[in-house]
Amino acid sequence: MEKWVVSVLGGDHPGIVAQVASCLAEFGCNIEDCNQTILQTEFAAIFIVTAPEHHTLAALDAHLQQRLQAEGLTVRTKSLTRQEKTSSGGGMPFVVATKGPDRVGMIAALANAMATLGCNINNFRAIARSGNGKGEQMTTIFEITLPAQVELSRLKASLGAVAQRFELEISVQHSAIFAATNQITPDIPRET
Amino acid sequence: MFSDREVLSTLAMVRGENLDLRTVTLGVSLFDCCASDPERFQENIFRKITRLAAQLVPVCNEAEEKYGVPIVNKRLSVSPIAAVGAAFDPAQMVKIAQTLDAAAREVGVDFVGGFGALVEKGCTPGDRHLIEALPEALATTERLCASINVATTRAGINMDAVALMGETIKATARRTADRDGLGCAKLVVFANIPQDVPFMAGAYLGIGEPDAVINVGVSGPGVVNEAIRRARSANSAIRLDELAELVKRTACRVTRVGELIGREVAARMNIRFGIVDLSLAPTPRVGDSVGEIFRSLGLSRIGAPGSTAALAMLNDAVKRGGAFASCNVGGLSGAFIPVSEDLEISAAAEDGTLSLEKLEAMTSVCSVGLDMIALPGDTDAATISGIIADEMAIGVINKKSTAARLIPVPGKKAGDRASFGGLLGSAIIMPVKSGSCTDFIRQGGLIPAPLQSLIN
Repeated sequence: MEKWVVSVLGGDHPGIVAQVASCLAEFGCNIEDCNQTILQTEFAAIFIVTAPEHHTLAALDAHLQQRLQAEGLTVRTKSLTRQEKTSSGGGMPFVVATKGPDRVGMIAALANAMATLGCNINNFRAIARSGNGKGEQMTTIFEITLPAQVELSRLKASLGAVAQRFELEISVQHSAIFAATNQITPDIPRET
Repeated sequence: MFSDREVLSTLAMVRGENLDLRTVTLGVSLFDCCASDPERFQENIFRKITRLAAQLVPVCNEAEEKYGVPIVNKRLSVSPIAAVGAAFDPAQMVKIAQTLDAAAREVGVDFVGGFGALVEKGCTPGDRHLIEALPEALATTERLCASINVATTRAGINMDAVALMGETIKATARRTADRDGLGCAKLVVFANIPQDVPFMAGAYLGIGEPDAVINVGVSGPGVVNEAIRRARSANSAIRLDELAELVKRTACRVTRVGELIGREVAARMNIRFGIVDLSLAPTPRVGDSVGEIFRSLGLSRIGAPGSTAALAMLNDAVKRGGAFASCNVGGLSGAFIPVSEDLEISAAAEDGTLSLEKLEAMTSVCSVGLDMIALPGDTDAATISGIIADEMAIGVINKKSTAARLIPVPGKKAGDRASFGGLLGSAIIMPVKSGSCTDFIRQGGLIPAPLQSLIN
C-alpha cells in the first residue's frame, strides 16, 4: 500500500496536531507513524500516512495547504520512498557528544566528518547555553550508526581533529552505556 | 533515542565524577597445574596464566575505547596457593610467588592475588609453609597480593592462625622496612572471605569456582557523592530516606556499567562472566573519596558521631542498587574505608577525628574492615593479633566479610607519615590504645563457631 509523508512546520500553538490529524482523517488517511518536536518557539512534525484509494497526493496537498496555511503552518507532502541508507550494511550505534564554544560551522564540520565515513545520524540535538563568562556554549548530541567496515579509531581521529579546531570537549561512546545507565529494561543494541 | 538528560548525566558520571571500572579481574584455577616437581609446577602456572590472560589487557583497552569508561586496573586472581602447592616448602613457595609475579608482569596486569591460605579451622603443612614464606615472597615480588582467611561464621576463629599472622605481619614489615613496610599493604587477613572478590589484596579464585572467570569491580564514590551533594543543594529539606533512595538508584546505574563491560570482556575472551562487585572503593584522588560522602551527608568529617549510622545507610543503599541492577552481584559489594587510599579518610585520621577504635566500630557495617591502616613500628605482634581477632569477631558474629590490612611501619611512630605509592596512597600512622593482649593471644586454640552458624 502506498504511503505518503506529510511534514508540518510553523510557530507553536495549541491545536496544531488536532488540526493536521483532522485534515488527514477527513481525507481518509490513516496515520501510521508520527513524530513531533518543539524547538524554542517552533513546531515541527512528520506524519507517515497510508494513502486512501480514491485520492491523489496532489489533492491531499491542496487540502492541507488550504486548511493550514491560514494558521501560519508550512506543509510539505511527498510519497514515501524506501531508500537504502548508506550504512544499511550494518553497524554499531554510538553517541557523539560535544561541549564548547558555539561557533559557526562547528556542526557542519562534525556532521561532515561523520558523513565522510558513512555514518548515519539517527538523532541529533544541539543545545545552546550561556556559559558563565565564556560566551555562548553549545552542547551537541549525535546518535549515529558507525558502519561495520569503519574502525572506531578512524571516527575518533576524524572527530578529534574537528574538536581540536573548534576547541570542543568530545566523547564518542557506544550507546549501550547510555542504555545501561538510564533504562530499567535497556534494549542493548547488538552488533550486526 | 536518549533524552538530553540521560546522555548528559551519564557523561557527567564518567567525565566529572570519576566513574570507572576499578578492576577487571581474571580468575584462573591452578589445580590442573599441580606437579610433584616444583619447577614443573611453576612452569605450568606460568604457561596457563600467560595463555589465558594474554588478551586480558588488549580486550580491556578495546572495551575502554568503545564505551568511554576507564578500566583502571586489570588483575589476576588464582586458586589459593597453599592448597595447590600444599606439597612445597617455604623456599619453594617463594619461588611460586615469584613465578606468579613474573606471569603478571608478562601479561601486563598490575596485581595478582591468591597467594593465600584458608585456615579458619586449622593449618595444613602447606598452609604453614605459605605463611612462613609470606615475608620473603612479598619482599621479592612487585605485583603479588596475599590473603589468609583465619575465620568464618561456620568455623569460628582460628586463634593460632591469628597469632601467627601477627608475627607474620611484623616480619613482613621488617623485610620491607626500606619501603615503609609495603609488603603488609599487599597482605590481608580475612574472615568469611568471598571466593570471587576481584579487589585486592583479597582477590583469589575459590575452590568452587570455574577454571577461568571474569569478575569485575566497579567503583564510584565520586558519583554517589555528587548525587548527594546535588540533591541537598537543590532541596535543603531532603530527608535521609530520600537520600538513601538516591544512593540506591545511583548504585544501580554504576553496577549496570560494570555488568555491561564485564560481560563484553568475558565474551570476547571466551571466558565465563562471574560477578560484579559494586564497592565504593576510593583512590587517593580528589573527587574519588568515600570520606567526602560523609561530609556531603552533613557530618563534619568521617569519624564524627553519626559516622557509623551514615556508613550503614550508605552500605545498605549500595547493596540494594547493586542487587537490582544485576543477578550476578558478588565479592564484597558495599563501601570500603581504606585509610591510606582515601584522601579524606586519611585527613580525618590525621586531624584525630577518626581513631582506630571508631574505624573498628564502623567496620561492623561496612563491606570490608580495617583497611590500609598504618600503625607505629613498635606495635608488637600480639597487639596486631588482638586487633585482627577483634575484627574477625565482627565478621564472624555478623555473618559478613571483615578484613584487616595493617602496616606496622618500621622505625616510625604515631603521627608520622607512611607512603606506599600509587593507589595504595599514604597515611598518617594511627596510635594504638595501650593495654596488653599478649596473654590472651598466647593461649591460641579456636574460638568456636557462634550460635549464628547453626542454621541447618
